[in-house]
Amino acid sequence: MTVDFPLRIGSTAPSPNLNRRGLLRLSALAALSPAVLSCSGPEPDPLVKLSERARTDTELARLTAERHPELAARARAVADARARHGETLRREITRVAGEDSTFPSGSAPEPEIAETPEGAAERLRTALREAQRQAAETAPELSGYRAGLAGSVSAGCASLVEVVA
Amino acid sequence: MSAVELSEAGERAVRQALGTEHAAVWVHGLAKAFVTDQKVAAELREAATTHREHRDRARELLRSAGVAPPVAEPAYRTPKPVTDQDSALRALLAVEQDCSAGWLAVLERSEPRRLKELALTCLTDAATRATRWRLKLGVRPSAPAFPGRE
Repeated sequence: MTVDFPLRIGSTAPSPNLNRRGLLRLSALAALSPAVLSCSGPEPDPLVKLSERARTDTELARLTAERHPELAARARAVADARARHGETLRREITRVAGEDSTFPSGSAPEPEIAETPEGAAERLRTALREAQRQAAETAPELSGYRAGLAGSVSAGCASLVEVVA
Repeated sequence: MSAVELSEAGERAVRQALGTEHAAVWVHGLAKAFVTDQKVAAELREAATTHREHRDRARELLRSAGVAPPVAEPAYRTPKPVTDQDSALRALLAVEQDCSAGWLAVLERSEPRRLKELALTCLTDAATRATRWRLKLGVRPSAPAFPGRE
């Protein structure tokens, strides 16, 4: 390593040109910067919202199975499939983002389960159709394995609707 | 349909998917002779129409990419001999699984948005129908988590 000799000292002293108005302008910018920074962060992974929905659907299906024995087998099939969607999506998100990828850790409010089995089944079908639509919109935006993953999740949700029907 | 750009892998995948649609159309013709239940017969007719549509769209797509689409084989071998409604449903399930895998591969290997959307539609139709046949056959799980992969 080479160093200029003599080392310059005091080069960080305020420039005499920095008048009061200049200082005010600088401090105004400083106040803005955190907001600016947070806007310019990387685009969120489009798979994150799919994985979140898979998580809430798993919970909804699990509680539906607990509450309505007559729906239990079908709702458990939905819970199993949606749990696998969530796991596989999270694995892919982590693979791309590295270890520092974060997932919302707070648990979502417990979903309300309809009193009647018909109502509960309808709620499950609505959630699955919504998940199918969301993944179908996402798949063509992606490519390769990720496009296939979102597409397969979408087709999987469409098939699960048949199971609950 | 305007010209479509296909990569080598994309073209191979569409040719393969078209092959599965040809097989599906053939198997639906075969199954018709063995289905006795009226409701199943109606579903079968609807499925046959959908597969002919998907076959035609895959053919058009290859043509618009300047590729000669492969033609259907004169006959196909089903995994098990088809002798009654149950074995016919199993053959139908097998072709829907093949179509799912074929279209998933197209989705993974193509760039044009229009092609990806077609692949997703065909994958979803095939997966949904496979689940209906599994429910009729009592095959569990009736809806695999990842159609086209498992």
